[in-house]
Amino acid sequence: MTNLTEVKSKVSNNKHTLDIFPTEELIKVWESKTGKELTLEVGATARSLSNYASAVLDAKTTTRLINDLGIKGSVVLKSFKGRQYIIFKGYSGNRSIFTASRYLAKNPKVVDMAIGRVGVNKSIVSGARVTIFLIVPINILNYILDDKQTMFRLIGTTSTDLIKVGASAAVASLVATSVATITTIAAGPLVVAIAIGIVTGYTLELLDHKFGVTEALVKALTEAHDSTIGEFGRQMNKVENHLKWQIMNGKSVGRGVLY
Amino acid sequence: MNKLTAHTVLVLFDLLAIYGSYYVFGHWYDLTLLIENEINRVEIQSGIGVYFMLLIIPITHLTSFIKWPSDVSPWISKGLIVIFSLLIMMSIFISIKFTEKIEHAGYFYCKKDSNKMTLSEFRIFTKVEALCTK
Repeated sequence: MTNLTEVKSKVSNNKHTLDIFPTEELIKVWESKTGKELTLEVGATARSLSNYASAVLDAKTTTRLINDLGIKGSVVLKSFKGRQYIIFKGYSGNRSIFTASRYLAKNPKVVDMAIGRVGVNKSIVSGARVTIFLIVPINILNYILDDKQTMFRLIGTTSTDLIKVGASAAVASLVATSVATITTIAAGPLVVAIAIGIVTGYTLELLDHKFGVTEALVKALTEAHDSTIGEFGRQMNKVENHLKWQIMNGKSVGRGVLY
Repeated sequence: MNKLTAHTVLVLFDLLAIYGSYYVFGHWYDLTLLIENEINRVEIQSGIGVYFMLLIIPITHLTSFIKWPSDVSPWISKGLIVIFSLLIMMSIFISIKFTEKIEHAGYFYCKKDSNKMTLSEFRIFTKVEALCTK
């Protein structure tokens, strides 16, 4: 009896209310609380910021690198018996990550800290991947939130965004690798990668705006849909109306359409 | 990548960086003309100053040509990072100055006609608010 009372009291003291909302309802609540304009503004800002994810990650790696190697830290790339080595200058006892004076270029520590060609490329690719992972869901969310957006605009903008991310990563990789080949300053390639990644993004948007690439893509998608599925729908509607008219007027059903 | 290819790629980007700076100055000059002629609508890309950030490429490239003495090279490293930080600040400052210049000339920001893209926005400013068409 005491056990039952104890269980009852435990259950009554541990009550939780769980409200389940459908997505549309949640969005409506959010919009009524904040206003439509703010919702769209937040979505657009999140979309802009997601493009800087790669630069932020690179800056974080650069900071860690500078902290470990010191501001004067430098590395030299040397090949020995067909294998490429990264040689760190300075006293290794002062470092916490690179505790040895030389590493193979493919060593996970070296690659993780974006040193050398392999490391810089890996850093750029992972930055681009993070940007893609952020930009696609944000675009979809903006599509849900914005009543004026069409499915073709979502597909068009996401496609050009992905092309821009890919192109920025490729250009940044090319320039950063070139810098890594000629300079011994460890942070040099990453600093250049940050700058070139952002500027390439801006340049591609300038070209996109000037030549209307996204707009042309959205228009082409809309027209393609209109001339295929849209046209099929219109013809079906025409046939349906014709059949309805024949039934209502006592004519032979399907005549002129099916035979 | 061999050193010759690396230098060739960087020379190309050095030229692009110089063109980027010229583009920003050219845009400033064009904007001055448009404002002086009281053109009804002007357009600028938000954050236009970022093109200045490219200058870090020729600077880094130039430092690689000189064999710095061991006591000087730490200062070169420090200098590069300081210059990059200054370029970031300069790009923000220039972008703000562009907007200020247009607004001080009595133009209104037309949000409806502006084209917001992923990274930047192509902002339209109109002399009269009624010209904001959409």
